Amino acid sequence: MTLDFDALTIYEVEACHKVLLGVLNADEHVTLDFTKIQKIDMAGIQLLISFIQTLQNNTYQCEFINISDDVTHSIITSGCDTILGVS
Amino acid sequence: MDEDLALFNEDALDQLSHMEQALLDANDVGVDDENLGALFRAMHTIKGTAGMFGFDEIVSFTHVAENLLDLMRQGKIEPKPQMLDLFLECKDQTSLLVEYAVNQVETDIEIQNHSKSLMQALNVFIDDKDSSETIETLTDEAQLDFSTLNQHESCDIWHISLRFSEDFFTSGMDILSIFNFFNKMGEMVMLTPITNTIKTLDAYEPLVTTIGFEIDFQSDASKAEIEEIFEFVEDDVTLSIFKASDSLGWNTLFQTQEDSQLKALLSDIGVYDEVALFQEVQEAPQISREEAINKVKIEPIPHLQSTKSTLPKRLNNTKKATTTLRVDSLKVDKLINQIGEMVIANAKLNTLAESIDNTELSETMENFKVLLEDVRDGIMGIRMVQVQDSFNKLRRIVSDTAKKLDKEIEFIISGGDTELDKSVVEKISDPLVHMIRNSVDHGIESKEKRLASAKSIKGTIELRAFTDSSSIVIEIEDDGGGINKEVVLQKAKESGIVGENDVLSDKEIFKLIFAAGFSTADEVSDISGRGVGMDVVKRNIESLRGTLDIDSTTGKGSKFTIRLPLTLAVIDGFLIDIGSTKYILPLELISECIEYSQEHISEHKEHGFITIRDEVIPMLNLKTYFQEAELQLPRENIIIAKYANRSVGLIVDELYGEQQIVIKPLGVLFDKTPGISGGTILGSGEVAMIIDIPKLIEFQINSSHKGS
Repeated sequence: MTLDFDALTIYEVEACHKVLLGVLNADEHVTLDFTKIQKIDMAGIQLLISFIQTLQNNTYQCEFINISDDVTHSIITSGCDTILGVS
Repeated sequence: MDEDLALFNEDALDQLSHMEQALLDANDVGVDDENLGALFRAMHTIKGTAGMFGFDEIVSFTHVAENLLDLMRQGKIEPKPQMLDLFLECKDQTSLLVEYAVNQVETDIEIQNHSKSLMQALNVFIDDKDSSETIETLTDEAQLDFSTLNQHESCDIWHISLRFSEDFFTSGMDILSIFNFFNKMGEMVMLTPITNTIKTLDAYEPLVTTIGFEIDFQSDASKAEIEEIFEFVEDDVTLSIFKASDSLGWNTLFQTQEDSQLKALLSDIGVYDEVALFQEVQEAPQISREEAINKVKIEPIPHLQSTKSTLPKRLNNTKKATTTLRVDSLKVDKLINQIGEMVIANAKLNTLAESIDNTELSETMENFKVLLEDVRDGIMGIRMVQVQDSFNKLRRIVSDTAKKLDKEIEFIISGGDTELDKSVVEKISDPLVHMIRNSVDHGIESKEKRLASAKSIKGTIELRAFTDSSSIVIEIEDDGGGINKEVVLQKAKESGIVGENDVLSDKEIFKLIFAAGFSTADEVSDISGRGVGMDVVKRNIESLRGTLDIDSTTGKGSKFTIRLPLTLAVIDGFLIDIGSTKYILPLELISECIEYSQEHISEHKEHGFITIRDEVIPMLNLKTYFQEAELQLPRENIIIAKYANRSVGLIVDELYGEQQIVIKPLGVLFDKTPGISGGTILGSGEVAMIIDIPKLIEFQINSSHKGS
């Protein structure tokens, strides 16, 4: 599914959290499309880590696609690239 | 013994206990990486700490054992069965050397010779050339170890531990901005997010900051300059900055961070290199011994040549690292005494508050009471320790005793994680040793007898611990020949413990083995059969307010059941009147209180018991039992007390309700008063007797038997 947010920052995390909760029950293999997201901050990254860890606890799989260079760079800067499987 | 030496002693004994455990495991399930690692760590750690205290004899001895273990860990030497016995001897010898060292007594020639012979025995397994070098160049080698470690130093790398307040995200500052700033000042050579604090999505709070970071930062910047980065958010950040080579900094970090997995995590990913600690210890003699001990204790201790991939994955290990703080037990005892006094003072305050009849004061007192209970439980919790360590020591006893008697015995421990007051654990240790020895010696039959009885040659002794309401239960069960009632009774008659014509129940016969001077052994051995011991066992258990029960079936085995109270000092009690005297019943043993109604009185008089919800409850009138005055009260009450799956209905007068009480010993004069386990001081200053429910139940059962 495509994340319908321009950014994933402190301003969007509450809404995005609700969206991700809905995704949890949908499918065992989750693909999140980041096409629209142009910016991420640590609040967004922390939310993604929670999402990934929740899926892993349930042995579900997850894939992030179409991540912009800026978002990738931010994730790498945060040191969370390995956890999120982003490179 | 000064404090540092006491710490060394405690640490060494801990290590030796782990070593013994690992050896016994190896004996049971074979040598594997885990128990080999534990053996190595024990010798390595003791060698390291002994070196800091200048205990050269211990260093020399443990070094040789460590060498052999190291070669085994590397797979260069195959483990052999005879090595286990040898290491067990080495463990005992190290224990002896530690004892001499901490008491600052020089070892005699006999001990020195034994050390030498053990070292020679160890060296037999090591290559001849290496072994001679090992002994001759011991000191040099030890220094070489440390000099090799020096190569790992990274003096220009800062370690930064970063945690945030919960509302950091909403403060407007983005952590990524901080990291971008870091990248301008130097290089973050290692950036480790700490994510185990992040909740799963269902419990997740999007605005709450829970992530943390451990950073290795290479920079010419000073600590003050790094701290400046956080100048604007200093109230929202918990920061720890120290040189990555500063072992004291690591120590402080691990002690202050509540994350028990942090050390293992950082070790695994190579951020934390404990090897540097040894180097630090060598190069910085000004560091206190206590600090040095803490440093050397850090686990796991990888071999210098081992690669990261050979290290155990700590995070996947079920034996998680825990953060502990060693505190002198006397300090905890003092706290417990003080909390006891507070409980008494609080009871007095309560009495006063009740007399004033002020609602606000009463509410405050109620709040204070709840807080006091929390503090009491917390302090009591400090004293609670798992019985596992105490149980593990018994494995050695079973193993050694079985060997001596040429018996094969499987010793099974369960419930080792059950917690019990430390002082109870200490006091129960000797009785357990004695009972286990007896089970091995008298319980389990010889191989020949077992075969003749169509049993497996290998006998089984099970040691179990579990909690049952307010008690801890320890069971020792064997599948041996059981107690021979005829022999026990005959011996008891011969010893004059019972009369020639006495008729005893099975239980009473079993309990004779705890009578002073009783022994069925014809020959005195060094294992058991001296006729002393089991009576001491019973006394020790009873002195802890515990009980001991025996079940035995001829040919099938015996089961000894010990029940002990969880705590010794402060309990929740239920205050009652019997006649004109105040008594306390331990609250945890009370299942309900009901009126001694006409219906119950009739049933009691007719049958000697009452029936409640189809359960037959035997009755005991405490006024009669304690010879209290008969008062003409409008109502009497029954308290149903339960202990060890048995109930008794106690007829009492007034019920006042629950309150915390501090158990005070009664002194020699009243020590043996039947049915009373102690005394306490009430808020009014009155003394109340604490009723010993297990004893009353036992009395009631015995009375019923005699009656029937």
